[in-house]
Amino acid sequence: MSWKKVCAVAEVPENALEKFEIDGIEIIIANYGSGFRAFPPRCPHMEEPLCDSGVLFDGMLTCTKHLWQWDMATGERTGIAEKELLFYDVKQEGEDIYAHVEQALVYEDDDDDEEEEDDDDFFNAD
Amino acid sequence: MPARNHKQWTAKPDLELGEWVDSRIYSDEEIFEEELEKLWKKSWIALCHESELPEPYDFRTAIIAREPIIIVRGPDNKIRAFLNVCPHRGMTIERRPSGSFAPAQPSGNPKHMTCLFHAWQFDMKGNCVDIPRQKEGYQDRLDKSSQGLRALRCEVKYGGFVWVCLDDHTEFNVETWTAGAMDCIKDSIDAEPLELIHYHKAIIDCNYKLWHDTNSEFYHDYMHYHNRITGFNDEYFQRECSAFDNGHVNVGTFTVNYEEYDVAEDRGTLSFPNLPPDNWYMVDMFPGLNFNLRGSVVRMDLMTPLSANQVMIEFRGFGLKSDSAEDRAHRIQHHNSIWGPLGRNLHEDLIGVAGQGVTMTPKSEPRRILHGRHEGAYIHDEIGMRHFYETWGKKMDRLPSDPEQKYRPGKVVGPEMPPAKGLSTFAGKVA
Amino acid sequence: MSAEEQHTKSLVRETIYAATVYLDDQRWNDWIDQCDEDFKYSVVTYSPEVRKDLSYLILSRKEMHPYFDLLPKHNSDHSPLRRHASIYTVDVSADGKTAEAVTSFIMTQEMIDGISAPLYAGENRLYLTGKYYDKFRINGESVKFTERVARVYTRRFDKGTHWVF
Repeated sequence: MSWKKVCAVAEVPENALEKFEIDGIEIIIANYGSGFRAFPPRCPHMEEPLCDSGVLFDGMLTCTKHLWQWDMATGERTGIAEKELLFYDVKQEGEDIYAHVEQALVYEDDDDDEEEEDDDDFFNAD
Repeated sequence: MPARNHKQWTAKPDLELGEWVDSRIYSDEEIFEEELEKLWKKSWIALCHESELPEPYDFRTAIIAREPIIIVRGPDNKIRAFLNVCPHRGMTIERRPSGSFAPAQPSGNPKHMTCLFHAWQFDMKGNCVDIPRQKEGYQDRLDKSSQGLRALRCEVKYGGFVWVCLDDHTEFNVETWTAGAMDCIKDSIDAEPLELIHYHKAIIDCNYKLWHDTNSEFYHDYMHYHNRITGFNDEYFQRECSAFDNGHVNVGTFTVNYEEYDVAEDRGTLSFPNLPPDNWYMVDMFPGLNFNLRGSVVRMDLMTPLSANQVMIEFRGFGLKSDSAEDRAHRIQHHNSIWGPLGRNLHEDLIGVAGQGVTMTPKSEPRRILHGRHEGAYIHDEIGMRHFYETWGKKMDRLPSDPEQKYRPGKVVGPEMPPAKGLSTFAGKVA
Repeated sequence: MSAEEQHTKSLVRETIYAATVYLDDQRWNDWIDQCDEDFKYSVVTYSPEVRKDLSYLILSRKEMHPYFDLLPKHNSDHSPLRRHASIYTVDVSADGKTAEAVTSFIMTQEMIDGISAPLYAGENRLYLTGKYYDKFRINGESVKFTERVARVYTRRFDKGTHWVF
């Protein structure tokens, strides 16, 4: 496992969500008070940028668009969230934050790309 | 000729049926409502140009007959149109005139259109992809899969214009609707992508058809000093008007005498593909669009009727996407010197129809509007209007010269005759 | 600020306000006389409707006389267009030979004949708002326009006008 330095601890104060780029991969570092978490920058629901719309408080990450929440200590989804957050391994060493970032973590796309109907069929249907 | 008393003034003109119309077609509010239903909601309307929404997730909003419309470009690069109406409680989904759905909005996620009211969210194909707390509120009674947007027939055609039709069951596509009227310009505007270079708008207190009439005839060149001085030569009078199914007309080419314009640069060099320099075509599309291909620029007018006595006109100008900055600047300058908001001709055309609007307000005493000029369908003929109102009459089932009567055909085409001879022009200094 | 710079700024302001009076009174030749040989006038706007910068008119010094001389030949709305101008900033170059100014202006139209005289004549209506971005050449006491960009905050002109902004 190769740990890569992401940032200084001082760059991510308590309850902050900061976005960094490591080798072309974007990653958010979250400081939930009793520790740090690292995860992809967009919400697994609808790709909302979490550094803009996420709020971290009392150990809970909330995406403020639809109020999906994840417990940062356990890492598990809670409340009405329907998908888990994916995490990069993260550790603090001295005054720096390291993460294990080999490949970008990607959420599965459950969009079924239907074939489009012919216009006349579509517009003349019941 | 003496002035007339009331009886003489209101008498039927000494012209044949079809050669004049009753001004109530321009002012009656009931007729206006019928026109929205029978004409505007049944025709293909070119609402904007593809260069106004160039990137995936770009959008543009518009209106046809009170129906607010949103046009979006999907991630598949296809352009689609929908009613800009949220299926929940009728909110306008997108309030801006144009923009991009790529970034997140205050109430919505990236790459989606979201109604700000309750965050119902839609993708670029009109699928409803999210209804917040759906199960909690609707249980199993209503699901987002049944709450997609109202899709509209939409085609990108003829130079990249985005055409929309509100009639699901129309028998026409854009090609068959335009019925050949665009053939004279399609090779020039389809050869390579166009780029919008001009946009402005006007709201005028007059019926939309009055602006369309002005765009359909050139007898009004008499209001333009430079046109009179430099343009009324033999070539000018050889320009011919052709009529097409569905009420469209176009006018053939001639070489405009631009060199004699004092402040104009030579327009001979800048042109469009497959168009000889300084050639010229005008297409008047039923019920209220105009395409105008001149030597250096394509102009497009779109009318949005607001009431019997009010119209919004959007004026657009186009060059080629591949133009150099210098060529683009020349096209803009050529366009604006005549048709810009400070252009020579446009202001005159607009005060013309504004003045007509004053005399034909709802419940004004009806006027007789003469469309009787016959000049072998050459440029000062009024066949453009006669053909339009022949179609109008049939679709509305109203007689244009007495809209309380049912339609019956009148005279449209006049006797054949050769083009008129040119009037004097001034080769020297014009001032 | 040196006394000289202050004086130059003062001259620039006077020039801008004099131009405003000339334009209000349609004294086109007096305004043209304030413009240097290489003067360029343009009317521009940004259109959020089509998300593009648009140019509505460009006139070089050379083109201005014919443009204004022809006005009486046109059919025009003769309702006077007037400006209320407030000069926001004036900056003079270090060598004192050029200057730039930003002026906010509001145009109103005193209605006469553009539409219907019986109804609208006598009304003063807002026409548009904008800013002048002006550049000057300074030669001792002489201040000449080398450029005016009239940036207008509208795309809607209704019946329009033949008169510059």
